[in-house]
Amino acid sequence: MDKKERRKTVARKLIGAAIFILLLLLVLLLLSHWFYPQQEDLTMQDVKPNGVLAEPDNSLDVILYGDSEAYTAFSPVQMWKEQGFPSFVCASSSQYISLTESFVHQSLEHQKPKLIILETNAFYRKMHSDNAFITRIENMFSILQFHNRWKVMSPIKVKQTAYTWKDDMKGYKYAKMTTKGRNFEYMIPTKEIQPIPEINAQYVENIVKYCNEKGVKVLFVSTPSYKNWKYEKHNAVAALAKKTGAAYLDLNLHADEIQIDWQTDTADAGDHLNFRGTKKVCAFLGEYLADTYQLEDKRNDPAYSDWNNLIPKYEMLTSEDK
Amino acid sequence: MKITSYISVAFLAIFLPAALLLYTIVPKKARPFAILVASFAFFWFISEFLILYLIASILSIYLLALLLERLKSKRDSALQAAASREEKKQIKKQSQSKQLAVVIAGVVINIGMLAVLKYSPFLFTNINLFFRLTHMDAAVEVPQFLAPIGISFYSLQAVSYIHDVYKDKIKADKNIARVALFMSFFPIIMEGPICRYADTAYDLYAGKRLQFKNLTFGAQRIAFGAFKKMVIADRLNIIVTTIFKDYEAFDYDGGLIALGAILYTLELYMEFSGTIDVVIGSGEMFGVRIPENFRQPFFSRSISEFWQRWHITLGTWFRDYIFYPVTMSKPMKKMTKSCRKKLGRHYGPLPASIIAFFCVWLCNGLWHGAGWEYIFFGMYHFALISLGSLILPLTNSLFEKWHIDRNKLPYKIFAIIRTALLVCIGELIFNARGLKDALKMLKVLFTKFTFKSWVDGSVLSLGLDIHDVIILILAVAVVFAVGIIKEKGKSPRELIAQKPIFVRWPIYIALVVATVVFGAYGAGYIPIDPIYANF
Repeated sequence: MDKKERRKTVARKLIGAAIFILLLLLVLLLLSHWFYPQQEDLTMQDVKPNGVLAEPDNSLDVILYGDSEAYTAFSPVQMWKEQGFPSFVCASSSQYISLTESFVHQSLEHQKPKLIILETNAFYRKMHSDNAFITRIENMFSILQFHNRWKVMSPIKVKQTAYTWKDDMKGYKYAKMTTKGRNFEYMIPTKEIQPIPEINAQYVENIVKYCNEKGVKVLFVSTPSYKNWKYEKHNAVAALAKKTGAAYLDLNLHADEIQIDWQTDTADAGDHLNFRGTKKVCAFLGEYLADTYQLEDKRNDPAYSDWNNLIPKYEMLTSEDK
Repeated sequence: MKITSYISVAFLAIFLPAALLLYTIVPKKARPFAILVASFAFFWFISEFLILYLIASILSIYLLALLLERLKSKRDSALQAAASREEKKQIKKQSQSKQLAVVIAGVVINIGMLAVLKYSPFLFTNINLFFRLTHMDAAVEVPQFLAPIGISFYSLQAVSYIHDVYKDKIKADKNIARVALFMSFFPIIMEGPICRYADTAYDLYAGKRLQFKNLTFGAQRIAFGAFKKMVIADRLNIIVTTIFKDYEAFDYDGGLIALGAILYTLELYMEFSGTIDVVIGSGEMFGVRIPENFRQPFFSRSISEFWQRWHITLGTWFRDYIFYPVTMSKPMKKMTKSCRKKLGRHYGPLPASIIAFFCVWLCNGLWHGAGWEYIFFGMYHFALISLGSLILPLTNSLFEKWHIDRNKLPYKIFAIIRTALLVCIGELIFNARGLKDALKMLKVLFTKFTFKSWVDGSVLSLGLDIHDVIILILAVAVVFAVGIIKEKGKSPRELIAQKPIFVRWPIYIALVVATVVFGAYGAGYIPIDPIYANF
């Protein structure tokens, strides 16, 4: 092959490659257009917290967000039984604060709670930071952001999906098991701070700001967990609460009132609470919330009869721990 | 820039194109240095100042190999000058022991660094445990070190280089840049494969011109690897994490534990082989042939065959640098000789092989991590392989008696499923959060097994919905189909390349689009950190 011919071949291949890349980008742009939400859209990935979308609009007084610490410690039906305010736990395993933010946004589109609660363990879950380049690419090809909408899109046209799956446990995950932990003083007062990753703190600030704009109060709650919590973290969250104007309740500092017994109340030796622990936390938290935020007792409200109807099933499901 | 994985925007969209561009624009002679600069920059991005350990390894093997070479040439000159056979024998013996000392020094430096950085916390924790159990009033402080990513891989490469020079398989390289490149080539530094000097070093240093076919084939392999990792492994990670983390708190039955073991095995394969596809594809773009690390492992009919198809380069490393040296050592040879006389042709060599297998599997377990569960994982495979060898004559005679033909399809399918299930049990041990958890999970698996949770919808409450399940089945079917083509000795990429443009381009575009649309990334998904990079 002479030089001229070789150049021609190379040029042909380069043009071919360029056309292929352009074609691929075109397909991605078209898909971006197709996948971009054309109307109000509800696209959440996790099944259990998605249950919040099936709740009647504006029916919840409290929505709780967080990771497994949240869905094992907070039981809305338990708090309903005792205090009569409707709530929902919008929590998922190892939830990142970025996902919390999208859950907050999406659920507040349909609910006007008096209060949202952010469980603070998720504040410390380290995220891979998106750099400017990735964000720019994502903005250009929105398919990268909305790709997961394939689950809810009609093959022909973009369509809003009705979420009908209701969670009878209202986001709570029943933990029956007991793995003995040990009772010791793990909240040792100190002035030290374990910093919350900067990007996470920024997400929390944005969530609080968004809620303030919507007129929804924000409360940070740290659930009892000696494996996950310590005074250094308390100090950091308290500082963040002060900075953002959110309220903060560290249940680890109320051990005497809640009477958590780590020998019997934990599913996995000090990490998550089991149902016995959940009941104690809900008794304390439910009363605290009802008093502090003046939550109305709706147990006699006919609009909430569904909640009362849930109680027998809830008691049956949790009967082994009665 | 922080690179955490090969399958990331930072690597695929920024680092790799930049490295290719740098490679193209520099003169031919500077190309190896361009890759070397890129490799050191890459290592800096993943491990920062821990790069000093890598530099220490490079310097140690470079200098020790040269010392070996000098000892060999000194020996050769002395042999030429020697008059008697006795004198020659003496010279050889003396040189041999000096060379051996150099090899041992190389091993001690490189495996020593690995051992101190990775295993000393485990060792000291167990010393303290021993003190506690024996009620001794003593304790040692458990040291904590930061180990560079990839140390388990490049340390083995370092040892293979020294050993191969010692065994005259290769010459000691006077060019330190080539040695450095062999040790640090950025596509292999994080997760292997574990390369040999003779296979890759000269390719790496050749500075070949970028070829269109290499670039396109490399890109195709990268796209397929990303598909495996993002669509399958990252999606499976959701359910696998839930099962392994919550099995106790939520009292999962044996059926869900079994599902967790199977899905984790699949996840590990898709993650590791997907990353290796990206690694090999990246090397291919530079015209560097990186050895294959997987050969359709789930088509294996025995555990031994599985390990010849799974993480191949680790298996061959253990074979060449542990199994053979142990079985070929003088005491073992002697033992085999006497055993052969007493036990016959099959059982005679077995004691030596079993001892060597024990060493291999102990090291294999430890290589994967400093924990008793990893040692247990190694011992599990050791037990399976040894048992297989021990009962072979018995199974042979039973098969003959029952007229079972091992080459018939039904038996092949049975053997494949049996092997896969045994592997899954091993991976259950491997992924448990410690030996205690592994044993608890095994107990639930075998005492509370039921398929109830598979059919009553419990599976869909573990983080994946029905859409995810459908995508998983389709994606695994695609990988399986590619595996069958490869198993038949054909190259899927070559087959597609022969098709007309209106067939092959839609295939390529469909692969990328499927990864972009069905990939488990973004809000709600947690990408798995490279599993093998942590070993």
